[in-house]
Amino acid sequence: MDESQLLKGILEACVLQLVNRKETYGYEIITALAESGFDNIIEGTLYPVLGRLEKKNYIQCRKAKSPLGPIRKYYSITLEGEVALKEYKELYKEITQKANTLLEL
Amino acid sequence: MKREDFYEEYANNLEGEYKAAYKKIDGMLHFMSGEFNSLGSNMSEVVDLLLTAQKEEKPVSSVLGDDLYAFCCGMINGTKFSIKECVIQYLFRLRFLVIGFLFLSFGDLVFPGEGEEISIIVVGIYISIVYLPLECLLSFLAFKLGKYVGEKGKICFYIKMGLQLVAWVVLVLQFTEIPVLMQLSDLVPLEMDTLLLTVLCGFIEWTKYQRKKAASEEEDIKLADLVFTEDFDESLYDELQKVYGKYQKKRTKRKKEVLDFVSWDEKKLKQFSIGDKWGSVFYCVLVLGFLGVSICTMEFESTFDFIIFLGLQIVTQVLIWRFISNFQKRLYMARLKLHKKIVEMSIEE
Repeated sequence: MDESQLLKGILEACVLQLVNRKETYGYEIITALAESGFDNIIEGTLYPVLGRLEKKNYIQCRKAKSPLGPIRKYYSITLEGEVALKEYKELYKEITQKANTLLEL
Repeated sequence: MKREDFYEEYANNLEGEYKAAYKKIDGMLHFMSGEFNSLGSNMSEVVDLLLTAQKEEKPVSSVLGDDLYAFCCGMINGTKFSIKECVIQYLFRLRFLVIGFLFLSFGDLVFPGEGEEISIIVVGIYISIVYLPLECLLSFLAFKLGKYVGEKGKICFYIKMGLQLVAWVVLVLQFTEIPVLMQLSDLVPLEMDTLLLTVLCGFIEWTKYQRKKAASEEEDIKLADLVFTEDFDESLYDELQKVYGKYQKKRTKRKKEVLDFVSWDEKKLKQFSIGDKWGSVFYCVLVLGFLGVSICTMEFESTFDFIIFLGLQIVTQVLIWRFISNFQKRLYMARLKLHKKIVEMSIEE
């Protein structure tokens, strides 16, 4: 089964959770996702997720100079994002419980 | 120039595989710069990722993945079109209108008091509403006609240009105050209001169709049917090869160095991108010049009208551009696909 299809919705919540911890940027998000085992989602996946979250107004973006020189995008969560994350978590818990029972896990 | 546009300076610090990856992505993303410029912002992000990976001695694939083309597609999809960026886009587009506006004002100065007086504000509102929808509509119509004729590319382009020319003549005739042209304007069968309504109806229908299409393919954008060029394939590549052939001949004749196909195409697109930037600068200079002259000649009434004219233009155009930003993204994806094809074909050869 194609892992990316299953990940689509979950990834949005995972990225939102990472942004919720502290103001963060692209490289940090990629590293954190890789450390959590999501190491094959970089290609064309992370930036659309960030774009979608920003469009929904769940996160906001600020541009500032990085220590290495170029302009870096820093992401932080918004109030709407905090509410959405809470809802995501509850929904995820509910769905996985149902799925676990059905899949006999 | 925006702060993000200085990414090249920092990219010089990249080495080895990081530098190679940067060059590849820079080439690919230049194809999405076009009229609207999000290149600096995206490339800054890429350079930052690569510099950090280099510093921490992590491989390129750990930050960009193994497929750079997929990474670029993701970046384009993730690009948010902000109001500020839409204003830049608007500035670029409007420079032609300002020339038209100056032309109308010139008519006013040369033939004062001739014919019925029409306020500049009315002209501003009218052109604001009509300009962009008209262009979209004409592109669509031209493509459909081109398809009917059976030949795309050149014929399609000429039809579009022809239609645009006719439309602009109609627009100018509606307002011009030069006596000879005023007589000609009587020959135009449509009244201004009718024309306005027709164009608006057409535009609404067209955007409905576009939105429907965008919604059905939200995650999986089909590259094949982009920007009215339904078969985005070999024909476009062949067309480019022909232009390249002409370029080769010219350069050889002048005994100048000939670039290979890929470098030539990359250079050409970079030039377009630079042209877009200078276009905006040119527009700003025109506006400031106009304001300066009208203030110096104490024509305050005219200056006030012009400011309102610009304000109205910005509000309407930015709203329209926000509305069709999905269409823009498709255009960039199409450019990216073309670049991938060029590189692939050159490797095969």
